[in-house]
Order: sequence, then structure tokens, then C-alpha cells
Amino acid sequence: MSKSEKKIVLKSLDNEAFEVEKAVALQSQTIWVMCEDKCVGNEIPLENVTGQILAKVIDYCKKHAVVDGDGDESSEELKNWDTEFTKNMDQSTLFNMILAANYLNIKSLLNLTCQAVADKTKTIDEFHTFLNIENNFTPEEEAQICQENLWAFDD
Amino acid sequence: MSSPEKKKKRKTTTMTPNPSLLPDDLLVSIFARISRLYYPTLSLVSKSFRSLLASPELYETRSLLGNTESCLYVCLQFPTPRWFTLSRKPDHTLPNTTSEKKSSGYVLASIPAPHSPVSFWSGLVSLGSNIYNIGGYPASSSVSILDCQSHKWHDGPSLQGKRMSPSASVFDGKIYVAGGCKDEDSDDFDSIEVFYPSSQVWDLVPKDCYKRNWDCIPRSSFIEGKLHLLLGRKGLTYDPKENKWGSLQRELCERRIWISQCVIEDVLYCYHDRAIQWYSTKDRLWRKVKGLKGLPKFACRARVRLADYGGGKMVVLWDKFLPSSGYKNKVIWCAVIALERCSSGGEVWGKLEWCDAVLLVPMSYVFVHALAVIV
Repeated sequence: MSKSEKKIVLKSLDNEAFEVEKAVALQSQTIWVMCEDKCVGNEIPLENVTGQILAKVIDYCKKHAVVDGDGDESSEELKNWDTEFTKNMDQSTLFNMILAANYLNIKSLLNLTCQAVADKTKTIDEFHTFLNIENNFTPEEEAQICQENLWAFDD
Repeated sequence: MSSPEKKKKRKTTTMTPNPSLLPDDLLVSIFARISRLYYPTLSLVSKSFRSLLASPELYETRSLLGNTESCLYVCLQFPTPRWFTLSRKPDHTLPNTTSEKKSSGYVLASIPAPHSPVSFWSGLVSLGSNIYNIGGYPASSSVSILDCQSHKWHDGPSLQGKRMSPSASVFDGKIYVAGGCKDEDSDDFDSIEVFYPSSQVWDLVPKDCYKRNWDCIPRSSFIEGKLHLLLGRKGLTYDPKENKWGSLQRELCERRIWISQCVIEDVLYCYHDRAIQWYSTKDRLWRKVKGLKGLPKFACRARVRLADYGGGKMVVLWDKFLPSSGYKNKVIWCAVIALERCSSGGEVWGKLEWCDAVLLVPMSYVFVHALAVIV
């Protein structure tokens, strides 16, 4: 196998192209299936992921591919790297990462990002991300909920 | 006209997926990783959140991830019965609140469980993620079960006999129900029934050879594998493995012990003499729990309730008058204490994890029961 065959090009929704090692990309079950099917060439279009998010996903896959390959990094280090990786992501990036991990079917990344959202859903600000969404309660239901849950509305 | 900064903001929000547009299975995957203490707040967000938070899929995922938690449930009467669960309000990140006394953030949140039965005359016990409401007034054989995942009541298999104010305790995954009157005027009901959840059947425990005079309000707890029962002034023990009856240690035959009692990791605790005490069956002595730094002194007539919170922790609940309400209201206080028995076995130390006011109630409220459920 020549060196070029080991590489693969991933193309994002906004037409950004990323050339990566096959071993890195194949952590995605979705890409793995696409390659198995041989229905695609060396370039794989990913219609649900933006370049910005795809770059982060590739960072993650690179890190994890290296570790799985030669095992010179301890799992402790990898865990710390994962923590750092999601630490400074805002809620909307995390939601996009969850959607990407789900679409690309990368289980460990999906678990990591779901955990990160869960860990952040503790402060008022993060609740607001949820609270900004339409609550679809009827006015009667809403009044009853307010009455029953006065504890949540004081302060 | 909008500033450039605003424009930029709008642009980024168009790229933000609305969390409500995340597919349900991904929301479940997130929720399963959030502590149950935050569910009451999350359930206020939207109807779909509310139904997802009560869905069996969520609790399956929690259990697969090993994220099950011990949750405190409290039943109060106003005089209609209402159930509450210990929850946390979202943390406050406002910079101005640092100078004020920091709230623990814990509250008792009302759970949306309609048609709760009156539990004042029932035996209440938790098994797994369910709360069993057994018997009631007038004497009844009915059993209602609160599923603490969906917060819905359903009927369970009825007792063999009618009972008012029976005692109920759990051992080895089975429920033991003892005592309780058939009805107001009749004789006391002198049998123990045991419930096998696997077969959903109530069975009678073989009777003691002599007839006992059962009390209307019996008390019971399992300690060291034996059912300890106080019936009036008489106490007896029953060992279900050996099918053997015995008499209760004299030190345990005092009624006052059994008002606030709870058993945590096979040790009996009670509140008495303005202190939390524990009982050693070996040397038959009550001793005060040591440590407890930070726990306020209880008023001399305070009604203090104890409950097993799981993981070697105790919940302490009591109430205080609220003078500012013109003595119309009371405040329920709660403390969580981590208990440790020292290796020699002669002392139990308690470390206060937190203590705070958790619910405002009218003076006329009645405390019914507090118990922990695994969800």
C-alpha cells in the first residue's frame, strides 16, 4: 500500500477539505462503513458537519488514534486531554459536537460531549440555554407549574 | 439599526442548534449524566423535557451508565397529601451574591404525582425505585405504588387482611408488614405478611406460638437480619432465615425511640434527649453520635426525623417557627450527615455535609414520612 492510500480527504458542509490518515478517520463508524462500501473515492463528503466542528472532531480522533496505535500515553493523560478538550467549549459548540459525534458515530466522543454538557448544566446560565427554548406549556399548565414550584422562581 | 456586534451574535446563533431540536435519544444521553437532583428544574423547561425526564429510556440509560442515585422523598399533609423530593436549584453565577450567606441550593421540590393516597395511616416503605403505600384509613388491604421514575401511582397486589397504621420494613428485597387494626373497633390484627416482588404475592409469616396483643401503631425495623417489632409495650424479634421468634432487648422497648428511628448500615439510630444517638446491640447501650460539627442545636421540643439516605449517609429533618410570618408558617430544615463507625465499633462519628432550610410550610402541616429511593 502506497503512502497516499493511507490518506483520506474529508469534506465539510461548507466545503472545507481535511486530509487525514485513514486510521484517524476510521474511528468514525459512519466513515468506516462508507470506505467498506467502496462507494466513495478518496474524498468523503460530510453533509452534516461544518468545517469548524470537523476540525475539532479530527483533533479528537488524531489524539485517540495515536494513543490506540503505540500506547505511549497513559489513559490518565488521555483523560486529562479529554477534559481540557471540552473545558472551554461553549454550550452551542458542544451541542454541535454531539450532533457531529452522533452523525459520524464516534461513541467515545459522543459520551465525552454528552458528559460535558451534563457537567455544565448546573448553573443558571447553562439552564438559560435550555430555558430559551419554547416551553409549549399551555397558560393554565404554566400557572399551575409556577404555583407548585415557587422554590424555583425565588431569588 | 443594529450594532456590528449584535450582527455577529445573530450570525453565530443561526449556527447554533436549538437544544430542543436535538433528537430525543441524544437528550436522554445528556440527561442520564446529570444528577437527579437537577431533574425538577429541568422538567420546568418544556413539556417534551418533562416527558423525557419521566421516560423509561432515561432510567435504562442511567442504570447502564451506573448513574443511579439515592433520592430523598418526603410526604407532607396540608391536609391533602403531597410528595416532595430533595433537589438542587441551579447554581447562581451572579457576581454580587458572594457577600451574602451562601445558600446550599437544596430545596424540597413538589413532584407532579396526582391522586396521591392519604399516607398518614399507611405503612410506607421504599423498594428499588418504588414507594409502597400499604393499608390506610379506614382499615384497608389496598397497596398503592409510586413509581419514582414516572411519578405515577398505580395499584399493587392487595394485602391478605385489612390494616390501619401497620408497620412496614424491608429486608432481603422483601417487604414485611406487621400489626395495624382491622378497623376502629375490632381486635388487633395479629399476623405478619411478607411481599415477594418477584412473584407479586403477599404471604403470611408462620405465627408465633402464643397470641400477642398487637398495638394499633406498631413500629419495626430490620437490624442484623432480624425484624425488630415494638407492639405497645411489648417487643419481639423475628428471624426470617431461621423462622425463629425472640424477644426484643429491653433497651429497645421504649416507644420514644421508635418515633424518629432509622436503620443505616445495620445500626439503629434515633433522636432523643436533643441528640442523635445510636444503639449497640452488643453492649446494649445508646450512645450519642460524635462529631456533627456545624449541626445547629435543636430546640427542646423540636420534632426531628431521621432517614437512611444510602451510602452510609443520614438525612435529618426538622422544622422551625418562622416568627416573621406572624407564626403562621414553619420552615423545614434538612441536614445530610456522613456516618462512620470507628474500627473498634465503640463510636460512631458524623460529618455534616450540608444543612439548610429547604421548604416553607403552613403551621398546620403534618409530617408523614421521609425515605430514600434508588433511581
